[in-house]
Amino acid sequence: MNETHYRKIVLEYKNLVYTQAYYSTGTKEDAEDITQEVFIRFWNYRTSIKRTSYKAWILKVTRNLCIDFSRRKKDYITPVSADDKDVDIAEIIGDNSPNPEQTLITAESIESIKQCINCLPEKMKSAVIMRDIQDHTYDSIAETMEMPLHSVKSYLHRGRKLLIKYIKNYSENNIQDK
Amino acid sequence: MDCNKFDNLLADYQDGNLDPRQKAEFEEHLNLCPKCKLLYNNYKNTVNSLHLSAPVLFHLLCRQFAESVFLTGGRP
Repeated sequence: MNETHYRKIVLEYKNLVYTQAYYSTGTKEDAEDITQEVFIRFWNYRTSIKRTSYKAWILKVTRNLCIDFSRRKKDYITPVSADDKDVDIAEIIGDNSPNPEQTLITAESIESIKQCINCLPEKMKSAVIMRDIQDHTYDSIAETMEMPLHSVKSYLHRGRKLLIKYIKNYSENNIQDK
Repeated sequence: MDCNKFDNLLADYQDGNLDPRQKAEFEEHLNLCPKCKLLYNNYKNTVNSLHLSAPVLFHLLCRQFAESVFLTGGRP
């Protein structure tokens, strides 16, 4: 791989890596650090990575670095205890229209979603980010996370349900704070 | 169909992966059980919100990032 080819790979995947890192770390600076680290490692290991596996390798290293980051970081936001009280999530995230395409997503709701994704357990977070934010296929997620398809579906489903509870709790806390 | 089975099939229903018979059973329970209907609506709205907010965040973050690191001469 020459430098031109390397730059092409970086340009092709940097947005994907950065987005996943941002959702995992919650800050621009940490996401940039992780993104740079991913591509430094990619350069260092370039001769041992199969040409057809570049994307899977990059996503796997991104995920591993994000997990390492979460383990190191002690002061990340912890959600309040999630109970099973019934709640209509549409009232919180603003989806009251019958047509989802007409839903108004506000800056505040995006911020609440981002915070709540950061609170998910690592594997659920990875599954939700890759499927619902980055639109990866189940097969691609299974390969990146090195787990069977049914496990991916399970983590995704549990992650989505936990996210509902976190969004509700986030909203209640914010209302109390105001 | 009971509530547990409904819960197990929710992700596949959301992603359009159920066969016609399963889909009909799922929707029958959906119309009969208020608790599962609320769960389904919350689930659907949350997933829709993720899908709808993703491009906005993606656009904002990537533009910032492109300006700051790799397009300004960053290299290993």
